Amino acid sequence: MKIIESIVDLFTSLKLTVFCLVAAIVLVFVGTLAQVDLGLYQAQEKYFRSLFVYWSPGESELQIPILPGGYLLGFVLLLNLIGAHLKRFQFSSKKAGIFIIHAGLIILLLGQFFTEVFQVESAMRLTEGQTKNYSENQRNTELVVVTSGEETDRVISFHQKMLKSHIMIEHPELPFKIKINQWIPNSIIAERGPNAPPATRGLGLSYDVHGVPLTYKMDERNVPSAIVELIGDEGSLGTWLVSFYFDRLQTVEYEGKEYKIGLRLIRYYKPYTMHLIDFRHDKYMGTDIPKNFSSRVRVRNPETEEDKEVLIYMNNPLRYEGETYYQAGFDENDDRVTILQVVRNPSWLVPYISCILVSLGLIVQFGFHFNKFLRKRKA
Amino acid sequence: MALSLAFVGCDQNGVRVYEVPKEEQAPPAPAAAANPHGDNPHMGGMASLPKLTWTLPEGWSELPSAGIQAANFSINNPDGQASRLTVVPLPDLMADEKEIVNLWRESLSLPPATDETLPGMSEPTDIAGKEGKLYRFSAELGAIHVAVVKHAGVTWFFKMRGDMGHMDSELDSFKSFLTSVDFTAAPTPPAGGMTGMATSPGSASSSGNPNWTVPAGWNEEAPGPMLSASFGVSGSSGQSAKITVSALGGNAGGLLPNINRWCGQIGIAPITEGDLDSVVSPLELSSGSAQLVELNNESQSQTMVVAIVPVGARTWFYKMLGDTALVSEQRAPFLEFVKSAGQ
Repeated sequence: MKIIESIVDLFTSLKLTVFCLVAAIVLVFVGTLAQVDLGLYQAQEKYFRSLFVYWSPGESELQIPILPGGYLLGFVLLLNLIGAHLKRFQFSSKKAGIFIIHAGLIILLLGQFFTEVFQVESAMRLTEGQTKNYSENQRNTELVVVTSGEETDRVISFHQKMLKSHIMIEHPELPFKIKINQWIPNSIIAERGPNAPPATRGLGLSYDVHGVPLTYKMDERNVPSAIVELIGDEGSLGTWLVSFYFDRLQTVEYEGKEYKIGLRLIRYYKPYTMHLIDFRHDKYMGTDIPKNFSSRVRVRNPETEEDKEVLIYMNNPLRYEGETYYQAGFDENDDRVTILQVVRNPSWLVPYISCILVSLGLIVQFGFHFNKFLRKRKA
Repeated sequence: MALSLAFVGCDQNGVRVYEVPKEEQAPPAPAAAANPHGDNPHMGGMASLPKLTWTLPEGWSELPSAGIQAANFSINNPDGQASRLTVVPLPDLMADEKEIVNLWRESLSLPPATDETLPGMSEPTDIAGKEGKLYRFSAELGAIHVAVVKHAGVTWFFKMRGDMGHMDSELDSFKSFLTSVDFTAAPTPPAGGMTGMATSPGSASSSGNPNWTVPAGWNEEAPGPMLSASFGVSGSSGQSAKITVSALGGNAGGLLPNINRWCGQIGIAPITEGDLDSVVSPLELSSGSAQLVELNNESQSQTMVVAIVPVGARTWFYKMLGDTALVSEQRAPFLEFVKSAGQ
């Protein structure tokens, strides 16, 4: 029982709250500095989307936890907040404001957790006159095998996280297995010299692939390539070089059927289409600094029979079917191209609710004390 | 566009299965994966490339570009095999200049460049009115001249490879070609035969196809990926055959592996080196000799005829596959078609 009491005391103590807040300050500080070397995305993954921050001495593979990560701190802080409430606070009208404030904070922490778990970010790139029904993940790729039907394509997609050198992947719908002979997380493609081709079929006959160091820069992305071997019942069907460099899938014929394979950015298909009618990109006179940019799009949804025109511009996103389309960018080489950031966040309302609750709590609490002060003064 | 979108499976350990409407033709100027590294991931998508025009020197001819090439040229060499020039836009890699230079040197079996030797390996050159760098390497294996210039966040590589003596004699033409390049010209078709326009990397340029004569009764179809052209033909009894044309680099993997791949496609056993004479025959064309491969699956009544035509540093494949009776009937028109290409 004493052990349980000790644990309860620990998780409900104010010291733990202070420790978590100080650790959070340190974490934000070192995590911000780490962006210099790691870039925003990697720094977020390492410091904030983790239970612990690890350090490896030299080039060893040993990983030593040196700081609590963002997930751990958030979880402990949430437990601490709820625990302290249950243990210490007793409801009274005098403390109603404090209750509301803390409820707001708990909802904020939970909301952040749900955002981390459920939010999906992608981008939709549209040229004027173009229609699309999918957006693309800007970080991760998928190995796809596509078969064509009369009106539809059937896509079997393997997420980048499954693709490592020397592993075998298979799917019940595919008559062959896919062996990843080589996974190159960042690569360049060059025309083949006199050396042997990297693959025995497809584009790999004409191109060489070279691995290059991973990049963490904000304005660059890693471009993976892979040498994949298809293995049917009778043995190897050959090897293919697949890469995000190639803008089209490669055709494989097997058992009288045509399959298309390739590596591409992960796609998120929608049950509606977006058509770019017009893209405007104004700059401040004499500079390249964007002044205003906007996209007039047509949204067509056959399920709801909607067909509407919408103007998306900075600070005026389109919220549609649970997704938010922000005017995010443009193509410096083509003024007809807009880039929309697409965010699906089922818990997007939570921060608003939380802020309202905290504000309400502050008004109630200060109002109560102000009222008390006025009454004393009157007396 | 049909909009029925049916997700029939969902994320199971990273595997998704779904059905989507068939993709429409490529969107306007998608520009392929020209600069996949250099794009800001927070800005989405891949950067478009500017349109490229040039003036071709005497003796140069444009070939279909493939993969990541923006353009591809053959440079006639009266004494031997043609040299080749390719234009490739790649990520902004000048920071890794040494790494790239060593790729070229490695392909010629030259020792790698060091930080000390690298600066002396290039000379300034004019490319599209900008100052670029020209690297020239030669060895027993041949010679490589590469001109490099940055434009709008993309590094463009103009790489010419061939015989050492021929490369030296073409140096002035190469430099005048580089000067004639224009990154910003409007994408209008060239007026004459001496200028060209870059195709989207990865696309088989229909304008780059030979001027063949399509036999009567053949219906042109949309070429699939990696195909330069595709045709269908039907027989009077409902039989069908498909004719495809594609071009690949080098010998495209070799004769025997390709034949055995085709054997698999029509369902017959692979052959050995000793059997080659029974399925391969010479094919005389106006420009030189080619090879004709004929494969037959009697049990399934399927026949494949393939003409293999080497042109410069590439190999063109003219392939007819279909019902045996129809393929026999179309054999003569097929050969006429191949000959009409004038390769």
